[in-house]
Amino acid sequence: MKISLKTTGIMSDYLPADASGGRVELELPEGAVFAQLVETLAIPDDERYVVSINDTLLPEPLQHPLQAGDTVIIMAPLAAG
Amino acid sequence: MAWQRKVLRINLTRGEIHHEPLNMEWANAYMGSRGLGTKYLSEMMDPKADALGPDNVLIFATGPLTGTMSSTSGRYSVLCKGPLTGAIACSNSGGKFGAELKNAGYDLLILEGQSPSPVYLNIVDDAVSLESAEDLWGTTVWHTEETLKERLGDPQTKVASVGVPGEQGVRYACIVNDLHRAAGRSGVGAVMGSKNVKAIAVRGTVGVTADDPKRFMAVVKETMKKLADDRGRQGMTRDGTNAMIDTMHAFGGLPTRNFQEVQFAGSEKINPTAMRAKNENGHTNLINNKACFGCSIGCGRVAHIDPKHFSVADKPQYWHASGGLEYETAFALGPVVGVDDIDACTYVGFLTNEHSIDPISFGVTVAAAMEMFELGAITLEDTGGIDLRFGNAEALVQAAEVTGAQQGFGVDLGLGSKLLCEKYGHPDLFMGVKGQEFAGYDSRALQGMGLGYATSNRGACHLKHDVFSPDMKDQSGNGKAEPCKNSQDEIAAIDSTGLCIFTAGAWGMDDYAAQVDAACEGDWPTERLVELGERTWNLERQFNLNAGLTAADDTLPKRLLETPAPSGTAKGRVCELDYMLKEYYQLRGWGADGVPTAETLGRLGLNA
Repeated sequence: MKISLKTTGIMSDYLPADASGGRVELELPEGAVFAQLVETLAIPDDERYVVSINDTLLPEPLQHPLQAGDTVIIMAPLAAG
Repeated sequence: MAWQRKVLRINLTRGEIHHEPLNMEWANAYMGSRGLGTKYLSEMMDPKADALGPDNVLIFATGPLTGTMSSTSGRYSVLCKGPLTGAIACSNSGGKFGAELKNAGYDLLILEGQSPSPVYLNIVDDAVSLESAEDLWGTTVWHTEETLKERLGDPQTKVASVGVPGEQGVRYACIVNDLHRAAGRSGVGAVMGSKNVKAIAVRGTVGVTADDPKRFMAVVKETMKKLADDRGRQGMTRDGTNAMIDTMHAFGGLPTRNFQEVQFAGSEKINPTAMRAKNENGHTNLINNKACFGCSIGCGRVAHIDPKHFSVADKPQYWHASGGLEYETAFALGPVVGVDDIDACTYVGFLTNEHSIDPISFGVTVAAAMEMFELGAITLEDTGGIDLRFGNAEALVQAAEVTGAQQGFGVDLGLGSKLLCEKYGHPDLFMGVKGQEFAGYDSRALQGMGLGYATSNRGACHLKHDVFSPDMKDQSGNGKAEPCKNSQDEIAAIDSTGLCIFTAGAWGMDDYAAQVDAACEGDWPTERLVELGERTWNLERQFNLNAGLTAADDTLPKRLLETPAPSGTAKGRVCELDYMLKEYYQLRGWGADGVPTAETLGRLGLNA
């Protein structure tokens, strides 16, 4: 299944080389959960980030099931500025 | 040591210059910079005094770590009663000016009274003089700084100055040092202008000495390593603070078109990626990053405007490199006014530095004017022909030019959003607290930010608390009062060290305490820092209460309390301020009237 992935800030470090403007379409196995996306992108366990899927904030995203057509945003955490 | 134990006090009315010892009892209770400046201010002036009159006191305060080898040690605070708010103003700046003042041998510079004619202050270590600034009056910050450096003959001289808006009492005029760093908020530049002080030039060669140099060097090495390894720091170096524009847009907390919306489709045209991209003319906005004194982050941006852009095509004097977009300038000159033209935003950012106006307050004031223009409350006749529609980059540029010059509709824009909205019959369209405009975070999506805005002692401000992490985990108001209160106290302590709060993602309070403990005489455990932060917060609160502010001022505009967020992750939410505020007062040890109880004051060693 295909999902749409967007990252912000330093989380773009983990995007595949063909990503553009912080966005990429990714192919994942049917029934994949968010943790599989983390593994695909090789995001380290100690990295801090915030996740929304289809504009819903997910405080504990790892076991959240993904569906075809989902828009997943992985955001760098905020700091004052 | 680490303190210089010396205060430079200038009575401008009488033209008197005094060197006096630092009050070490106060330094031990308030440390430096924000805390110590607040103590001196509270002791020296009546909070009911006219902010733009001679009885206001203007204090430039360094911290014990300012000018040392600690990372980010270039910070200083400017304190006074703020003309934008009627509350205490405490505005913090970086660059090199603060470290130079400390290296000239001073912890604090205090300006009292009002000079009978325009002057600038020239400080070279112990040699201090007031000089005529008649020839500089009416000129810009950039002209003033370059002229003084040339006149004084030492390229290492650092200058802090105001432009025409500061001279003419624009309520959000700032003090700009090193051409494009600013004590930006609450109108401290208008206070300097009201005292007929155009500029302060300083050259310092005295140096700063740590109490235990070997231990201090070891602690600095350790904390710098921690900062270097921090992912947040790495992002800040690469993208600057403007990385947050993408996160805020995605999150749905990016105030857009005077807070009518919370996401801005044009944000990708002014984000860090756009700053690095080549445009159709082959021009790239971003040149490099830049660090303040002693800083190993380097979040500052250096940019230049496409010479073919309409804003500067006939103005080659603006084709040079200068301070580029940071998050707050990008927000205030972009989404909140609906503009996505990176060169227009950059040019207006240049103008805010050149003329000494706070880009946040300016942009949010223009946003309110645009909303009233679209409602028909402000007309083309009022604006002098500026077509002040949201998204009109040319109108934004014109608005900045007339505000910088204080001509035409720029005089109205110089009132700030609150007074402007009252003048044109729409007080509900003022987006701020206590007279000061919001920064670039919508408190319907970030509830703890809303509580922080409402309770900030200097009016709406995003820098006096840090509730980002809880806000991004849970979008209700539950559990936000405690991290808001605790982070307010901690940041008051960090501000009082002389270091930058952008280190706070990498360092805990133990890291700050270790640096202060090695640099300063006496014992400085973490608990002492946190307690002096709480003491400072309560003293600021007392200043405001004595100035006439009440709990009724701890509130937010109706738009945030009653109109749900139209999109984003917080779609449908309003800011749940009421119950957060009740819990907050209890945690603070304040009564329901927002006044610190006798028990709280006694615990902190404050007088009723």
